[in-house]
Amino acid sequence: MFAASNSQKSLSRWLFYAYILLILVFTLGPLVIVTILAFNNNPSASFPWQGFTLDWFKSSTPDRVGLFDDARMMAAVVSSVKVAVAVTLISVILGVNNAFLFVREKFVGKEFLYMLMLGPLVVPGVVLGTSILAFSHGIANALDSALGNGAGTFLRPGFWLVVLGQVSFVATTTTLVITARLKRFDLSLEEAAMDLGATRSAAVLHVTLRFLGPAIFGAAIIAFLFSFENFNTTYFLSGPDPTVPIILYSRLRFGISPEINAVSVLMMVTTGLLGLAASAFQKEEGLA
Amino acid sequence: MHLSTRFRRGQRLWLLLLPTLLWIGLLFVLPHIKLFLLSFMDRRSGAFTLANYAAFFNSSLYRNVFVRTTTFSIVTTLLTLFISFPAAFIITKVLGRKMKALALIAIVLPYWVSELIQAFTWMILFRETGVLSYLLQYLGITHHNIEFLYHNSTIVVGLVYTSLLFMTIPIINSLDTLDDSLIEAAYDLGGDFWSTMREIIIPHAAPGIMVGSIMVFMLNLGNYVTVTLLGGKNSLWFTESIYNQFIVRFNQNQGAAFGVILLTFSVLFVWIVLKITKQDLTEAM
Amino acid sequence: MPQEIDVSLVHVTKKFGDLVAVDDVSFEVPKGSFFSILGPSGSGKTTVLRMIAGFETPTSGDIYIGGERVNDVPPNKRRCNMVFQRLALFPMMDVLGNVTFGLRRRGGMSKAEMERLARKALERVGLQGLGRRKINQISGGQQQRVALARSLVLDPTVLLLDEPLGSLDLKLRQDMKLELKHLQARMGTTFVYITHDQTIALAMSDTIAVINRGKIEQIASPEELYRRPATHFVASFVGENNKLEGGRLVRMRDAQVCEVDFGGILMSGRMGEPLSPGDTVDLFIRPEMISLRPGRHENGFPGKIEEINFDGSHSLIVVNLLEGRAPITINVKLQHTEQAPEVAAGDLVTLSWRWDAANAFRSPTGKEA
Repeated sequence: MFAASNSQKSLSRWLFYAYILLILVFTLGPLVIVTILAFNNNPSASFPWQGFTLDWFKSSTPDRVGLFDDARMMAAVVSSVKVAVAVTLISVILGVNNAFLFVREKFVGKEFLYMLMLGPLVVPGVVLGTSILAFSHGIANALDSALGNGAGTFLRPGFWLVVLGQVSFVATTTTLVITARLKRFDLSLEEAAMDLGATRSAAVLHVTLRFLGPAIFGAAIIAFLFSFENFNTTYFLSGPDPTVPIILYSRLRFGISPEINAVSVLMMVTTGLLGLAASAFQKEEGLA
Repeated sequence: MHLSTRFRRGQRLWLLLLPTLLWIGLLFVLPHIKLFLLSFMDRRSGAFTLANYAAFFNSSLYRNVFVRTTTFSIVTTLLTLFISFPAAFIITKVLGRKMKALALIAIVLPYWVSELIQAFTWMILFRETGVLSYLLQYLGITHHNIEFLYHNSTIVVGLVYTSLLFMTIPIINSLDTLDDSLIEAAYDLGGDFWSTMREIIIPHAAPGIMVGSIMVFMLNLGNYVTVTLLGGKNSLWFTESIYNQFIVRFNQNQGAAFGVILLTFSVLFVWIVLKITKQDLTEAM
Repeated sequence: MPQEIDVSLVHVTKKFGDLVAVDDVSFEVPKGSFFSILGPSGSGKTTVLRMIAGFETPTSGDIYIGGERVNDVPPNKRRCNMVFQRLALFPMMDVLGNVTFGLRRRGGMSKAEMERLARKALERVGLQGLGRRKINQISGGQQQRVALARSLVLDPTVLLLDEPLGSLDLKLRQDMKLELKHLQARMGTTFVYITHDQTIALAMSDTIAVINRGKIEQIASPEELYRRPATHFVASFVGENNKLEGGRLVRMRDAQVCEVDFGGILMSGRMGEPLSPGDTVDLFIRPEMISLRPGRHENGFPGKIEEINFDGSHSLIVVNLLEGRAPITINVKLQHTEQAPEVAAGDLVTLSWRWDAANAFRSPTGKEA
């Protein structure tokens, strides 16, 4: 394809391979090194290699706390999972609802609402976090003074505020994924179901929602990942029960311990697997 | 009958519209209106004031941080483009089917690793007792620890790393739709590598380049994790100024003004770039 | 005076891994001629064209363009241009931008001069005034012409055409076919055209090379190819034919004519290749070369009309031969002229043809019917 004699051709081909190799070293190299260090029996979290150990995962000696024996870290994992499950549920339900709204319905200002809906993806997470914080702060104060102290507590930094804050942008992503599939749904299938005696809601339930199944599954994985990994927005809204990224960040600002390598490996494996599942699903989608 | 179906249809619309409006209204529109209003309020009295904006424009520190953030964002966006474009081109037009799939997986994988972990891996490499420092001593190039963290260039490396995929994927998508026979036709008519690049390949990939650049620019501008971890106390990123006003100084109003400035600027900037390059984003998406 | 040769392939072979796509192909294309390479899909014709254009390098053998060996010359330096199958017009440029693309690469010419040449080229293909149109704003036929103009403006030694008419509908294809032929005659540029459509090849070409499984089967004028196919493949691939399978060659009347026994019926035919008595052969007879007379007659083969398929200017008549041990069906193409006999299904008729309307080839299966 490239205009060159044979020898030049193979030379440029080798240059291309070298370039791709360089890119791969750049993208994967750091991840590989962190993984190796997570099993290195060296408390400085660096080289040289001092032998294989699992201490950074499981150990409770005074000078070596493995991540599974780190109570604060484990508590953060639990609260991360709680948040992620809640965010996933709400965002997927919103995503299905929005997909039907934008694909099936006609109403004034639809285009405008759609553009508005893309907003949370464009606005920097820090701005999104602060604006939700400021807004909820005002509402919580109003609730407190109207209904007595404590009425607005759920809108103070903490579990529910983190969930709401993450839903604000995760729901946009789930909407995009589910909308893309609903657009390809052949409406005559629903009509055929009704022609065969199904009620409208039964047709939607048994035919349309089943068709959306893979997209809903994919959207759920993506929502879980986005929630589990989010830092920017969560940082402002998080309360006494921080999520894993928040704990990690605060520890990283003070220094590096080998335990963080272990946490990284664990997160890479989980999110990597979930991510692969999501991309595999998306690829299937692309072919369908 | 006719009336009742119409009524039911209207009912269904509202039933679907309600959750959407609640979500986008309560979690996006109203908070940003609140942010906007706060930015024009006096911190104590709540009266209308332009002081929060005046504070930005009168302070050379804030102005400098803002200019610095923007400049770095533009530079890293361009750098990411220069690294990503050849990679995307090679992946779509040079590699065979198997190699292509492999390279794609390798490029997509880090994307699923959280940004925090990405930044952490660079800290592991770059800190004073880190891997790079060790490697240099091991090779005998130096005999003491060197701190690679907390430099401007460290920030750039970290930002390019987190942005790479957001640039590469849109370009790959646009190059994928370029018929190979167009490239052959250009050669056949006497074109060489560079003229074909300039007249056929880059114009065809322009929408992808545009989408990628805008995404990466916005991500850089709004970045917090990578810049604070790799830049440390000296990162001087504008998002950090927002954070400081809100959390450290409890000055919501000043922070709100900074937020509005960042938002307005980024939207304006993207709009101007689109106008200058005569690109239509809706076409590109 | 020796003919000037524009393109020649000398023992060219191309392998992709184990697959031999082009197998020892040699031919010469005289200057100013319309040369077609005809073959079914997968026959290697596209690979031949791409090797001439420079997109593939021969595994062995040499390619010459205008007398110069071009094996190591990249496509952008060869004085041949290609009209691509899907045209490959540049959508990011207007019509004029497409046509001036090659001139701009060549350089050494003012912008005005380039545009003048481009407009002249567009005029030549009948597209004057469309220079500023976008590629997606013009019709399929107009796109074909832009692709032609884009190559012709460079005044190439050879124009390569990769079945560009294939994407057009039938009517437009007929029109473009004639136009292309006239254009070629007018300009005197050497055309190398590849196609799987024999009607296009027969109508346009001075010379046709039939290729199958990477090998050249025959190189000849359209008429020669049609009347005197050189191989079993050419006989079955080019034009419509009755193929009578598995006859036994009884004897040779002379060096050209043989007699073949089909279950008791003796038919004579031209030997398309050297044959000897006892060979199992297939006989190919052109349906329009068969004459059909109502009733039974002395000379010829008696038969009964099975069905008649009306097709406008002619009818296709299916006849079952009466004699012989096995059923033999022969299609006859009957022109609707004033002298054409009136026949109906079930009529008894007699078929006859000249010996050279039938071509005999050794049966590739070797099975006697």
